[in-house]
Amino acid sequence: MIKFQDVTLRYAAGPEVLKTVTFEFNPGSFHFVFGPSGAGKSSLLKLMYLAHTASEGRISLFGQDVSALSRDERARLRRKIGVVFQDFRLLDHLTALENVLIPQEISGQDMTSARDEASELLSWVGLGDQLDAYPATLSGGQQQRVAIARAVVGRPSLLIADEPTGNVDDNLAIRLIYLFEELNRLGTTVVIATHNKAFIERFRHPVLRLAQKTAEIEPVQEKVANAGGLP
Amino acid sequence: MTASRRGIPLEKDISSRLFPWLLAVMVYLVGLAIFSAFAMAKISGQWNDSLGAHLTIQLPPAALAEESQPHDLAPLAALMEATPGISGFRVLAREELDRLLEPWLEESASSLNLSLPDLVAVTLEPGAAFDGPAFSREVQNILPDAIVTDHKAGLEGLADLANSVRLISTGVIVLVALSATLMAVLTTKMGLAAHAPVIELLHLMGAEDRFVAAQFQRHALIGGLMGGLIGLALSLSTIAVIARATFGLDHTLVPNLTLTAPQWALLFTLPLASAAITTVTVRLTVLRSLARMP
Repeated sequence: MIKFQDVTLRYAAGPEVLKTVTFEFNPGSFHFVFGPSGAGKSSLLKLMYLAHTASEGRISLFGQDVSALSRDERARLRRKIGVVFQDFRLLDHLTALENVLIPQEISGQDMTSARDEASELLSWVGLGDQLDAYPATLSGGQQQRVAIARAVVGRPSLLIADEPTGNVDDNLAIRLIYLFEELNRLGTTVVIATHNKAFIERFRHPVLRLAQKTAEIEPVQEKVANAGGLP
Repeated sequence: MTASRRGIPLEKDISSRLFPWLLAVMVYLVGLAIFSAFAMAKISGQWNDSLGAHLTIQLPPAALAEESQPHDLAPLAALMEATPGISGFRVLAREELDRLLEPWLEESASSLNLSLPDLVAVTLEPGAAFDGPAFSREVQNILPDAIVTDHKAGLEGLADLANSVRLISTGVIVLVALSATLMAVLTTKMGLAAHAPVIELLHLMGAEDRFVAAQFQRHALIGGLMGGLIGLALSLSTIAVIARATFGLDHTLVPNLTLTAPQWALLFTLPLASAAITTVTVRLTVLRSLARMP
């Protein structure tokens, strides 16, 4: 599903942000990406959701070498990926419901059923009474939930979330992880970047640890053994 | 309202808001330029029809006075009958000359006892080959004092003027169309720059360039139609004022400046043309700009 081979990333002529990162996530897997601030979690995710291209190395998504894709092929691939951005990136001029509808519209879904699905999803994340609210009128936590609804509404094959529980209370954060696990059970590959060690300990999924600009996968068993020892 | 109509908030851009009004001014100018071209063609045609098909032969009064009898016009008549391109001729009666001169003399030339030339009005066959200078020479061989006035030669300058106005009008139309195209390119590039974060987000959600271009296109289509309709309305108002002003004029000089059905149809296609030009320009600009993005 996701394969990084000796991937290096640097912005323009700057220093390396990631250096010879190699790992592979299988289809249907659930991984946390964990690391200290500045370790390159967001950069790694940006490579996964094709916001950046690797400076060196090779990235494969869904079995395709992303460097060989045309613009339209990249667009089609992106439609299989749901992304929860760290800064939410909601469109301020659209309501919560309209924000959630955008991916559906991009992928050419029937808008009537898409509207029902989006409304249902927003209700599930506790925003059933805020469908017509604009992002500016929502709290940070509410905006994050809209962003999550937008990412999962099309039942993507790959869900990438950058600190998706950063602005919500613990109860909702747990519910959101359960939602991601539910999607995972339905076949979605899930990658969540978090700095929340408690979640990693509570939800038993393998962890991709980022340190010293490189990454290594820590299996579940090892993670449990080392619980509490993560930076 | 669905997300599609508001994915990229182009309607909030100042450049987008001004675009229809700038386009309206351009369509207005094009409308007037088209009308000017048609009007000049009509005026030029009118002059050609009324004056270009005639020439006049003046027989000076001195010659007549010496002979103290009507001039012998038989050789001249024979020449005209034998000359290709001449369809007819007649000698103007004294009363007709008086009528022609009265506006300038304020009374009859006869009452002033003025000696007047004899005038022969010659009618030419429309479209037939007629060699004016050769005819003049032959007339002067018969009647050395005769003066041949070929109105067509005098009209050439006017015809050149009419052609110049038509060419200038065409140039104005081309320049305005180019300006509208450049304005659409500029406005689109400003829109792309202003909404770069939104466009990037749409791309990250899987939007193809066509999806983004469609949003710009839709906006351009509406703006183009709106600007075109406003411009057309303004130019029709101006044309109506000009046409009305010509109704009271001497129609041998300035005809009624009404347009024919195909000419009206051409004017009424201006909003569609402005919408089409802006829509196509915007689409190509968006697609080319996005194709250069990583």
